Amino acid sequence: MAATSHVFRVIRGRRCGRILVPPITCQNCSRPPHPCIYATRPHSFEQRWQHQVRGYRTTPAWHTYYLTPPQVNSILKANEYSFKVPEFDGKNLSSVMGFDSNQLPANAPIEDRRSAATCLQTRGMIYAVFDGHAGCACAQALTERLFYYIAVSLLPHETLIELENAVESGRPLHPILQWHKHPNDYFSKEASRLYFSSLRTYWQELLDLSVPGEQPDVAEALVSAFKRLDNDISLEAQVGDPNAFLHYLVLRVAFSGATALVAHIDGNELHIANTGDCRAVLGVQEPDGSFSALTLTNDHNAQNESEMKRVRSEHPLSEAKSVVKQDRLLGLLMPFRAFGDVKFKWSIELQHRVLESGPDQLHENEHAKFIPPNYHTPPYLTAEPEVTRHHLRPQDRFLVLGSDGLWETLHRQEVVRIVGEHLTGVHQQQPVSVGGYKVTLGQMQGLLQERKARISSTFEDQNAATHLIRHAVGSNEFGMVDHERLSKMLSLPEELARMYRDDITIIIVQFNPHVIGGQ
Amino acid sequence: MRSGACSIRALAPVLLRRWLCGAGARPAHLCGSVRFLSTDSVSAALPARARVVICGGGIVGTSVAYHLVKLGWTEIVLLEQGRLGAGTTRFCAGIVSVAKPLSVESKMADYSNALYERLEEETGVKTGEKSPSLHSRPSLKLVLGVSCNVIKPKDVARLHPLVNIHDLVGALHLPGDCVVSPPDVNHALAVASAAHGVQIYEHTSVNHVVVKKGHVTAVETDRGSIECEYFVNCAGQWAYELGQSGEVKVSVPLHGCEHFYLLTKPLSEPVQNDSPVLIDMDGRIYARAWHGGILSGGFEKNPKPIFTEGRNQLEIQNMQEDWDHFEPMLSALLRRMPGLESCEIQQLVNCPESFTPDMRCLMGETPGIYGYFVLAGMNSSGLSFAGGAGKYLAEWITYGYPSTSVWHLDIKRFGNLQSSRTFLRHRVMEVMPLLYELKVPRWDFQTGRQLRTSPLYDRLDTQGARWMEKHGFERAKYFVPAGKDLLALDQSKTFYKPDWFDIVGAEVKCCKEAVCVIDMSSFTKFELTSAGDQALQLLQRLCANDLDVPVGHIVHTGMLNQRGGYENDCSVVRLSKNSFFIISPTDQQVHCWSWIKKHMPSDPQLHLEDVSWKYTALNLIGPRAMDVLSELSYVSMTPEHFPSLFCKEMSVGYANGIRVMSMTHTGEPGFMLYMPIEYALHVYNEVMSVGQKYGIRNAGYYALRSLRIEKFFAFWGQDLDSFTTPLECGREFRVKFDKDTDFLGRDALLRQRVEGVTRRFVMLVLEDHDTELDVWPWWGEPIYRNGELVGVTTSSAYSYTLQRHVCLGFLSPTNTDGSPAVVTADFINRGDYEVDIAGQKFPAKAKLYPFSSLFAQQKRRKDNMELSNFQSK
Repeated sequence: MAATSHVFRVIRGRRCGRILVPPITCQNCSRPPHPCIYATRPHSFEQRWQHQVRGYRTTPAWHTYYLTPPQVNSILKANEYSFKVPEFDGKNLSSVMGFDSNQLPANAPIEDRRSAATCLQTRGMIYAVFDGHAGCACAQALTERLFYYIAVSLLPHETLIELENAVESGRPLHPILQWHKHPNDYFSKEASRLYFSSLRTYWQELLDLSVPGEQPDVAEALVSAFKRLDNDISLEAQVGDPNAFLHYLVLRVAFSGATALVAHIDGNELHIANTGDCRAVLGVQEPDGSFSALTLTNDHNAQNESEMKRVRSEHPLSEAKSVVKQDRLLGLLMPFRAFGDVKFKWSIELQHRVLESGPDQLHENEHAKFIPPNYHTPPYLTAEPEVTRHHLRPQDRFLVLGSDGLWETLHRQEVVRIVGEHLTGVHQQQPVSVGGYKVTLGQMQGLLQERKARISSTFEDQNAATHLIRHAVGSNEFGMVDHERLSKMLSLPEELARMYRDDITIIIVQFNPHVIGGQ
Repeated sequence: MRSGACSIRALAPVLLRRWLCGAGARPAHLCGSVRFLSTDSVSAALPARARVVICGGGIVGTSVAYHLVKLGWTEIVLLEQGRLGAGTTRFCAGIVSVAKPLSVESKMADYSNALYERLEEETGVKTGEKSPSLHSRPSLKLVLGVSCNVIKPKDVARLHPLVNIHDLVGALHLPGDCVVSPPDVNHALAVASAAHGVQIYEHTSVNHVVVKKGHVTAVETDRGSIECEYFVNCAGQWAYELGQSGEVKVSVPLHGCEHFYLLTKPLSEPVQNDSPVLIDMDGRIYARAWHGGILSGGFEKNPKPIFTEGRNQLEIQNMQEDWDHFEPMLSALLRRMPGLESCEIQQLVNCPESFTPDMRCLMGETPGIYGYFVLAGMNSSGLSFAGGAGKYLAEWITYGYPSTSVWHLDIKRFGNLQSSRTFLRHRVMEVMPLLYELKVPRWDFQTGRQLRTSPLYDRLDTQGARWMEKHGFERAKYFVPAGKDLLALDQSKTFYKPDWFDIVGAEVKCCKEAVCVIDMSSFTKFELTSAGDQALQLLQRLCANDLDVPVGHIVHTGMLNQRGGYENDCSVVRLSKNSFFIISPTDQQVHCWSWIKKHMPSDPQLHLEDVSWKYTALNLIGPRAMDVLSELSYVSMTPEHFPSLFCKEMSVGYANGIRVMSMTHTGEPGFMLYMPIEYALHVYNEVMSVGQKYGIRNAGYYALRSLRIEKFFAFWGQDLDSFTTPLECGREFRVKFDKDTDFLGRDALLRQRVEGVTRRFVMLVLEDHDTELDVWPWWGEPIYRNGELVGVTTSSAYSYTLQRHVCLGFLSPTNTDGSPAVVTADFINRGDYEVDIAGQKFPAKAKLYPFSSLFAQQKRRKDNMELSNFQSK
């Protein structure tokens, strides 16, 4: 296991950008696109990474200054969010106790997004991690829209009728979702009308398809919502909008991309819908108290053989060599499934037509006109998710949803151990024993001080996701959080940060074993 | 199985030797065959009876056996549940340090030190060697009578090359300390006692002790019972449970804590065996040479108490090492001796030690059960104390009391109230770290508090009371005025002028000029009643003063022992012809009770009751006290109507039947009010509201202390002990030699009156002492007369009236040949005195009488003397 993860890290470590396609400049974010996204640049970086065993092990050569522990904490905790499911009569009747989430940017601005909400019409809770590329527009759109698509897909026929009647007659709507948002998680207002009308069209179609008295299947609903939303994104870009700003927005959403990982929990039923290379891992407590990891998703990338087969099978044999090159789709894109990214979905004609009719800003952008090489039989990319269903057991203690920024630094077993120990407050550190080994006092002192540091960093973090990020960024060779290292990693200049680490987004959902065991 | 067990027992001495040789890497200096039992082959059967049964074959138990034998005892049986020295003795680090906080402890350690050396000659068992120790932080107060030098860092480096001296200012060098091997000492003691007929039985556990009519009669073991007169509980870790096991429970307040020390493999350049023991108080560690390597342990800030739920014999053999817990001590060791970094680890030893609620061991006869003795709770100084403590306990059993005062170690300083497991668990966690902390004056424990409180506790607390604890009872030290905030607790821990100086000064001033109220409910209060005159007879026998006084009179008196020494110092009120109210110091509750009980005939018509919990006591001190009281009772309280040392039941406010006594325990005018606790709040409120126009305020014990010391009032337990006679402390006027009854101690006092006293209680007023800048005297400071050491102080306080420091203490000069010299008033008056405070000598004026007598009349002085004393009851 260690060997494979090692290899895995080497591969991931050499990667700098998810996509080698130039993005469309993001207006909202008014910063220049990250340098390493440009197709011409990565090579030099790759050489630089090749000597490194693990992606984040380089000692920065530039002048560093040190952050104090409080400074480090304020950076780590800036985006942390915790939610506890409210108790009723002193009892939590939900199968979820609550969740911790956090994200640490490496891109400026961050391209990862996260969402969490409770479905008010059903009883489920939905969590999602989105990892954007070529800008953050697509990921941002997903946070604002995907949950509504999912919630609506889950609504029974009767509720959909109510919903439609309310809109029709101008009555106020019952809210569908209760969001659990960090103040930094913003929603844009500009496109809400457009988004709403697309959503309404969707539920009207659902109304026609659904049968009264039938409960929608969660897995089907998730697939349907994913595909529908990606389709809507594509259509909106093709149709355009009379408002120039909106027109530009929908194009940016469609031309950027994002992977999505969604977890839906209702009672003991856990559904994971995954598109791309975010990952969901379940923390399972063994009878001896230790934690083991159960991965619930498959990464949709070149490391996944069945994905390779799928991609190749969808295109003529003549393209077998060009469709995946250097572990990238068409030699450009790392994830094999994603939202947006119409460059990999539309025909060349459609792309040209849309770009020509688009607003002026696009004309100035050379990269938007760039067509992937060997582009013969689109679409090459899909947003269709792979859905996993898991029936929660009492030993399933928590679920970790993370963007690939997390998984390429920490092995899943390590992730589960760190979170498990943090949540239970019990350290599975074996007591130190000298046994028959030759240990000097100095070595022992070093070891003991590291153990102490590990314990103290646990108590520093109330939020399990923050704790995990601290480990992901600050772990040294011994798996201990090293303040010096943490300080260096967090004080990297904006333009360099992305070379040493990726955006990290984590949601940790803690289950309620009393409810799960009792059902 | 049974026969197997028997044969093991028969082989015990052989096995023991083998075990000694094979116990880990510990050296066994023992060669040659030693036989404990004259009757090896029949040792399987326990004797049916013995005079003394000792439970516990550790170093303490064998030491008691050894010393009993030396005092001529026969028929001694020593029982050990496992093998000799298998408990704490087996593991302890083997350092005998003579630097101890109490002089009696230093004496014990000194004796132990000499004993272990002597044992080697006596038995041929090598026990250890001289190994002077180095304390990295010289204590501010040098312990009297211990040979020690303060040396420079340079010399430290010379004595112990491994020590990092960069942050050292100096060190204390104790050439007298030594290092011994505890199992070897244990073995030597066992061999020596066995040679004198002590029968030692291993693998025999005591189930319980049989007590009939308050006397030990037999010991039940797992191998049958042994009739005996005396039982000695030396069970160490298990002493608490052994005490609880019998039908009559004995409270042995101790609790175990894990204690760790590290053994290293030999260094590349082996550490010499004669290199000194290093004690680094700041790092909380000790370190000594061990087979070319180092043995180092410490007393951490966060101890791990164990065995709270009960004993586990198996566990103590198999204690877990806990490296994470040891980390701070390891770091401290490497900081002090950086050269050890490359040294290899041999083992981390976990050796549980037992600790007591006040860091002092438990010794003596248990209250209520005659013949049941305890020696346990050594606070990890077992090896240092075992020799001396064993000697004292043997003397105690033989003569009824040791040859020196051991009140601070007496088990009777505790009672059942300190026996709660929760209390002990919490308290030992506080006590153990204190072992390596500088002993700050007036230390108050933070754990195990608010156990006993007065009904006024909350009222006083909201008025700014700061609390101290005595025998579990919360007492106000002083009252922080509203709006004034004292420094944090840590900063009030000082040897210099404390932060409460002005606050107490204001309270003292109020006591002198207006009126103050002090809650003194903690006092021990007994009621002795009888149908006939038995109560009077008993008190006349016990007390030196004459108790046959008219009803309503109060008598201050000592209860003396045969030597004429104070067993108790109390005030007795004659409530009616045959009932008496006895007021004693707070911590006398157990000791005084057992003293009276011991001398009380078993007469159903004579009844002693502890009424401490029934009464709240308020002390109104000051010239306006009589105004306050007369306003509340409509009775004139002037001296003409209410002479001093008088007790009347009267009404105060709405409350009737309050015992009002004209005494204050300070020498100031005023009254003590003893009331049933249900009236406490009412009376207090009335006193405070009426007293307002007289400037009444609350005061605490620190004010009381300052007042009583400047009035030269001695206090039992600190100034007075069971070896101090009334003649030595100027209280002859309270001894009525000519009363009808031959009271206890009369002969001794008569003899002393003829021979003259060899020690004398004096008051020393410090001159040239800068209260602001100089270290304050507290107690235990050496007194010099004409440059010669003649005594030591026992208590001291700042007198706000004299604006000087006043120390009380004993002078006990010696003749040129070293024998005690008789002290005369002339001797005292014709000397130039100095008190040595932290190495600096301050000139002092010695007085035999209170300061006020210097300018007042003889009568006035007598009145003051007659007014009471013992502030810290």
